[in-house]
Amino acid sequence: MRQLIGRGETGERKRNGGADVLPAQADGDHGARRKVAVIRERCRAPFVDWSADRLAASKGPLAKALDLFHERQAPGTVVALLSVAMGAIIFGNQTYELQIFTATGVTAVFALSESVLLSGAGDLSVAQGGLYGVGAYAAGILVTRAGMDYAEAIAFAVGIAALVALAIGVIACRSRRLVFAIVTLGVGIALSGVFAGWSSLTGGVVGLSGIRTMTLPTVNWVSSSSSVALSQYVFVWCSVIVVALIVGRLFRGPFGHVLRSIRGDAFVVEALGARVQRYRLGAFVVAGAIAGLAGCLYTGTIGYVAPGTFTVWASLSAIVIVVVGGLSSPWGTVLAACVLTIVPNLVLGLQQDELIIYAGILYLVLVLRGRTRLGGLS
Amino acid sequence: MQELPQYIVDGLVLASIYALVAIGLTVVFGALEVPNFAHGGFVMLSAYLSLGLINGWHLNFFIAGLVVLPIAGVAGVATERIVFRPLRQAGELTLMLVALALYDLILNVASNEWGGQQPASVRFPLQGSLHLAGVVISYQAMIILAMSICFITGIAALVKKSQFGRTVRAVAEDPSAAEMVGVNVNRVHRSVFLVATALAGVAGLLLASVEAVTPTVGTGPLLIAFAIIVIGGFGNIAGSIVGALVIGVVESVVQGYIDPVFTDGIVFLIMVAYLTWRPERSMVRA
Repeated sequence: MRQLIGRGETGERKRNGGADVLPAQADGDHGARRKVAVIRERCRAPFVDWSADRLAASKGPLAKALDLFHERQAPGTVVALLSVAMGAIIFGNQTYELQIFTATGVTAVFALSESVLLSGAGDLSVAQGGLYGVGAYAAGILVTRAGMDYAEAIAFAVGIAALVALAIGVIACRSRRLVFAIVTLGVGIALSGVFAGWSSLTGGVVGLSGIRTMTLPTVNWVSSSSSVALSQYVFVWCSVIVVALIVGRLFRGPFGHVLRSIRGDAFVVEALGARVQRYRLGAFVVAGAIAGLAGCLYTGTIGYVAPGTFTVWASLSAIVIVVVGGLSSPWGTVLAACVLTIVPNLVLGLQQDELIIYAGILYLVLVLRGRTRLGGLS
Repeated sequence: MQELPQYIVDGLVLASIYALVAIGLTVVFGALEVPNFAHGGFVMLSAYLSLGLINGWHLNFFIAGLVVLPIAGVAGVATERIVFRPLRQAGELTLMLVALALYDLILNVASNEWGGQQPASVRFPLQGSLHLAGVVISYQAMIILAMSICFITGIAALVKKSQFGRTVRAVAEDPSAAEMVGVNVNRVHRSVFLVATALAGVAGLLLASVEAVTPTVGTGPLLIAFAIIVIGGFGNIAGSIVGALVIGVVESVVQGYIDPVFTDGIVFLIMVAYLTWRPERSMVRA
């Protein structure tokens, strides 16, 4: 119960003048029926007022907008910004390293999309790789065929990915746990089949090549050879930070509280009057949009899209990153994405056996920590 | 329309292999609540083993079967001991992740080892076929069907009638209560994995005789088997057989009349339609 009520309770109490929803009074002479009414009232709070938040309640519109930088987000944000700046200063002239960092950022955004589901309602989606591909292909096709700018293409591609996620989610969210995983697995496989099979649109097995990459206002103080890489690096990592902030904000708000309660016990949440399916669907659409954004960033930095990238195994690598990073914070996911991508690539010089390493890491983490419970991962 | 009986017969052969995979999965999930994604890996490994034994060492098909069966079973027992026993207390999500990771591991090792190999299928000893009212039934198809029926009946009898089956069902119902009345839970887990993976071994052998063996040869049957157990109900052997028959025949008819590209999509469409129709069935144990 505590978790479900969460942060929403303070705001709720304030708005009501602290009069009729205090627990002390509920325990008083009115008895059990009153208690139920209080619980129901509080559980409804997240659904009625999404900004029912102690901080938000006392702030103006600008402060509310800046509330993305919540107290607990600040350290992660500062560290991330500093690291990105450090990376730009130290590796500003080395194109290869910058490209690896950019790819890491794309992976981090992709992993964040899985983390919305796993650390939210605890849904294991194996369709994220497919949605990642939807974003990447949509951006690629819009840029090459429709001649769009990347700004427009990203907006459209994210929308398309969210719509596809909505269509999938309407069906998938009817089921839970293993069946949800199986349905999304089927969807993931079907999507990679579409990428490989719909040759007229996606270029089939060969994929789309020669896509214009993102060009941004370049920085003058580096040599021209790495300036494009540098600007892409900066743009991708800014996106990572923004997405992590949004995910973190989402999870500290009422929406996240309800999602985590669903992971705890869906039936109780349902009995308390929340529409479990809708919450999970909402999370799935948000995750789909983030995966779509990751896809756009992929296309925008690589300039080449092939079906082999967006398979079920891509979803698995995202799952590994989320599990290794822990389910409590999006910054953990970002950190894990960095460690798991940069260490094999730059330190060990591996590329082929990445998935084997991932599977091994996942197994070790889960067996060592999974004997009891993995950070609430039940 | 005159090809229809032929497609149905072909579908039955597919269905019998799918049923073998699905029953292995559903027994493990029904009894031990382990979503064993690695099952497809065992099917693939057994297919490669059969390929090596029959095409490489020139063993007879059936003798190779006698070798593959125990090896697959022992691999299953080892998996249970090393991977799933330490996670006995872990939650469902953890088990799913570990099983997926294990399958990924098997798949990657296999593609590194044998990925460059020319895909080939196993030589079948009996060539020729029977013509029956315009339908061609090869001896191979008949033997596959007969073997599947034998194994499926065997395992159904084992679970339903034998003392072993009773202990398995007791553990499925309530592990701690079963332990309290003297059931050796570890042994039950071991035996269930032994039987289920041996079934995967048979499925791999039969699959190797109808399809070219590649590292991903187990993936299709694995996914279809999951669809089948969603339709048939988790832990329900009879349901799995019905689900396998439906999906096998539909797949074969779709391949014949429309296009093989759509088969995976159609299979999952059937599953989704079923989930939409009766969502509560799939909620029972999942």
